[in-house]
Amino acid sequence: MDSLRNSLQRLDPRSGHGADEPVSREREGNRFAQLRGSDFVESIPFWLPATLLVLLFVYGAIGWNVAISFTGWSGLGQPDYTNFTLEMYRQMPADQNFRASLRNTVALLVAFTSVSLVVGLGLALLVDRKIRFENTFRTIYLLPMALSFVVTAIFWSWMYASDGLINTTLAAVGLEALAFDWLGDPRFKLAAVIFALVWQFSGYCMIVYLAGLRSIPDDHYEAARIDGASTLTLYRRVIIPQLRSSTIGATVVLMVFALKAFDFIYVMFGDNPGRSADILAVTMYRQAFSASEWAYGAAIAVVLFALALTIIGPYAYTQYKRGAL
Amino acid sequence: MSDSDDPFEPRRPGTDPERESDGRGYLSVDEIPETAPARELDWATRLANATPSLPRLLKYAIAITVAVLWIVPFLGLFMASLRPLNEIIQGWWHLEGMTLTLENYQQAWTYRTAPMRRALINTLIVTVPAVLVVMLLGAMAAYPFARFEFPLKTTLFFLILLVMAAPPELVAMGNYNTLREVGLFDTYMGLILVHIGWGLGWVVLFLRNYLLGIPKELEEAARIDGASRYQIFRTIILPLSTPALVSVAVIQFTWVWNAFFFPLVFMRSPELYLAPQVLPLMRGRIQVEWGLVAAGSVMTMIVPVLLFLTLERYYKQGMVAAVTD
Repeated sequence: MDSLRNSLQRLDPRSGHGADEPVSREREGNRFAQLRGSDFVESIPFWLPATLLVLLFVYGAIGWNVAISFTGWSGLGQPDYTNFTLEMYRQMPADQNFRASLRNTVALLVAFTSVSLVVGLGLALLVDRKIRFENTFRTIYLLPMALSFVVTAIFWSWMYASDGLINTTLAAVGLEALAFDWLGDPRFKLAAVIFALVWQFSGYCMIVYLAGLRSIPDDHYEAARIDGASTLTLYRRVIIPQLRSSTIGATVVLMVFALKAFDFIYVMFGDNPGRSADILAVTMYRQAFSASEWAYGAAIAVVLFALALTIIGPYAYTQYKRGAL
Repeated sequence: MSDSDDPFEPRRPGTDPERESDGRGYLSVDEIPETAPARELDWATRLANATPSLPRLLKYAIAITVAVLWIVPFLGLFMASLRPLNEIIQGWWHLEGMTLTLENYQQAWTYRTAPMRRALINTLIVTVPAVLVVMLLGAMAAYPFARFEFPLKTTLFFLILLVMAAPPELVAMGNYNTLREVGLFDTYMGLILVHIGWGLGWVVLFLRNYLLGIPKELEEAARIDGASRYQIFRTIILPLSTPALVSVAVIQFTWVWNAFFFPLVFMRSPELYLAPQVLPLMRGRIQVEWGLVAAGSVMTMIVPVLLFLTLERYYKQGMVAAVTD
């Protein structure tokens, strides 16, 4: 089929001439519309391996997970897939631990994302102001992104320790009153986690915003200056509105990262961080892999997925409408 | 210019530049052309220029404070890894009487349950194939999605993209069962396959968007000359997408190397543990051996951090492209 097309193209006296190319491409489209199938056949070897792996290790796993969540399986023997039950989902609302971890997950999502965005925006504006050693500062701010959650969790739990650097610094400047047991006090556990996560991820927001800032055409600034806009007005009216798409994109990515905060909390507190810092991911791991409550763990994972979909779904849909995907 | 004229020669403070210019052959301020470097200004003007205005001072103060905040944990980790435990406990920031030792590294290297020596090699064994295969399969799948027209294209593409929305916890249990069924549980092969399936979502999206931004002329010329799809892929697509492939390699490498959750679930034999799994073990239960943990952390993070520092440009491009297309 391909060789046929090529020989026909060779016979066409106009093919190969650059100026006529759009015409010949259009003609090719009409004449060989029936050969689309061959394009499909040709494409198979390219996408098939990737698709198979994704089907098996992502979709297969999701399917299995959902199936388990509808059984009452608790790890011993084989799950009974014929025995369909919604029991696992039904018991969730009454489960205090589940409710606490759902609440914490949402709090973590919202607080972590918004603080990271604000800090990242601040850093981007700072670095964008013709600062010297811009590259050095940028590299430093972004460096934590290259670290493992495990390493970050370990050294932040060290910073937070009751005789750690934070409390020592507070004592040194006469603020002993503010030196708390950051990781032991239920009031501060989640906040401590969020702070450390912001430290790790605001560099990411910074580069996204920097890319956004640098794509604003210079004449926008000039026009605003000629109109006599103050710096504050310039930021509020010209710069910030143009960063909307950066903000939306970064928000989605950050929320996905936040759902992966498992590593962080698991390393800091183990698989039972208590109700003040429990998140769905940790609860799921504890139920499934520590307590062998497989079905319940699976159901919690499904709730987590639903949460992720409500975040990503609208974004993916608008991107698709815009033709960006 | 006169013989003794050296623009970098320091001037004696307090002397009048006007008089100096006739007496010792210096240029007077008025004679300096506008394009001359600032150094040729007299010291008083230079001092005035160098004295920062309040906003500039503030700008640098914030930039440096944040940079210090970002660097301190790294510094602490590094210092602790080089000092004996009794010094660390008193606070690693005390510099007096500092003893430098490689004891901690030695201990971590030969740590009893899971020596870092082996853990690092294990991590490499998992990371390298997971990165290379994702690059190859991702590029292969991205090619038809960017260039071919075939039925099901959008559906298939979405199928692969949706992977990004699924939290890792969702596929953990399903894959746990899958790997058990096929006998790949607790093997590197199983872990590598899960990582590959997991990474393909963003890699395919990223590479496909990159290809869409490259002009098609070269490929069309090759097709007219009778090149097959496979030849075009190998000789045109792959070389053209090298920068994007480097981005993929850096990000995927950092990702897989740092991963904690998948190894935690799928690798159970201590001799197969990966480096991020070993770190929490080193921390122990009662008396935390910070020096040992710090040395282990430095060993674990050195590879991705060096990679990040050398290929930062590609890392940033990949991270930003994911949200700003």
